[in-house]
Amino acid sequence: MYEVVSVADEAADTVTLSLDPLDRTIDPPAPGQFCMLWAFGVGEAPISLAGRDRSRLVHTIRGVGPVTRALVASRPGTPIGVRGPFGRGWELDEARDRDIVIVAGGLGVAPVRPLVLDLLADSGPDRRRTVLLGAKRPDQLLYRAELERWRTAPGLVVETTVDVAPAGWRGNVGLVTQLLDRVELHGERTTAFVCGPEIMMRFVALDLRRRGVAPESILVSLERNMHCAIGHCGHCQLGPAIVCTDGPVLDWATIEPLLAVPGL
Amino acid sequence: MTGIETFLAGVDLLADLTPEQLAELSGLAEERSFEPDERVLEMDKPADVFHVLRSGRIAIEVEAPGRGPLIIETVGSGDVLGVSWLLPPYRWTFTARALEPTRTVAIDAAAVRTMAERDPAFGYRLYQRFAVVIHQRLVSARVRALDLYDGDS
Repeated sequence: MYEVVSVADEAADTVTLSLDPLDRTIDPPAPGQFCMLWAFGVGEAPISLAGRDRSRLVHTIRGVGPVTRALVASRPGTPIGVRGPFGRGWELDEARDRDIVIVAGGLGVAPVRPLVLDLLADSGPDRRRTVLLGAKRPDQLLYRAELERWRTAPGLVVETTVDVAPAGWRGNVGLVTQLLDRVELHGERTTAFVCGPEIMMRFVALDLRRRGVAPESILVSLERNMHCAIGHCGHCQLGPAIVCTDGPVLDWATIEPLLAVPGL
Repeated sequence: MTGIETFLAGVDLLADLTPEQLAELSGLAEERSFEPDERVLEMDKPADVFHVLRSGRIAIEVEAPGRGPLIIETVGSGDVLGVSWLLPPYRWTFTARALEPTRTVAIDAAAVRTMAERDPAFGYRLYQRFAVVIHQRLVSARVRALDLYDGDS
């Protein structure tokens, strides 16, 4: 059992909850893994890790259904049930000596936030680190309070774009792939971490392939209808893959043929 | 090579022009600069030039009734601004405004059309290159029309 210790508003329907353990702590989740968060009296939903600090868990949630709306309505002191961590996360360590490009859109920015925080703390090898983030409108860009720190971090290139903006917006407007087209990228030595709506990820992956990034080096985080989170119920099955245990992070070589099957 | 010719030679859009074509195109071009918020193109006005951005950023806007102007696309260094000059009636579809101090190379569109009529190989190459730009913007517009981020959870 955990308890909400802080609630940060991200957008009209989206908050970031920080949770501290009330009794037992779960094993430390890795970036890209998810937990099942239980809103008491309502139900349970899979939510990606958006950050962690020792035993504290950070999750960003958009209220789109009964469970997530109940979680979004949490206040400091609200108890939350937590199961997890589940799934296969991002393999950042294997990519540390390579160029890294992170592309995320919408709520897909949340699962890549731990990667960005990790890169901020990493003074590692002199490799190119690029972070490209998209949102529908400027007021829906996640982690706006942190973006300036990300942008000014040495060695990190951070660009954002939105689908449409009111006059007066000074940032980029366009698809996140348009940002990708503008960055210098050496495909043969790049590992990409991609998260967002599936169609967005498909266009990003196509773009990365065109730029010479190997399909095995394009890691995407899939969202499917996860219920049990332990590979038993089959709700999240995608062909031979059980997303809650084989994923949610899978490489493009594995996932591309499956996404091409209508109705899968 | 002039400064404009050197710049245009490095622009992807014009990468495979012959030196003669590039020199002729450069002769139809001039440098322009825009202050933040200065209008670069205006909807319905004659599409008499197109721009290649040297630096800065430009927003493409549309006036939405009751919502004011909305920015639907931004272009930056190395990008081309303006495709309406390719097709009759040669009038801008949207308004464009500089977001920051911006330098462009503005190319005389009517003269380029004449050049393309006279030199079909050049015209074909140029229209092929602009087809890539139009395709990219069509994909961008179609994907954004799906409103992908609205449904993600």
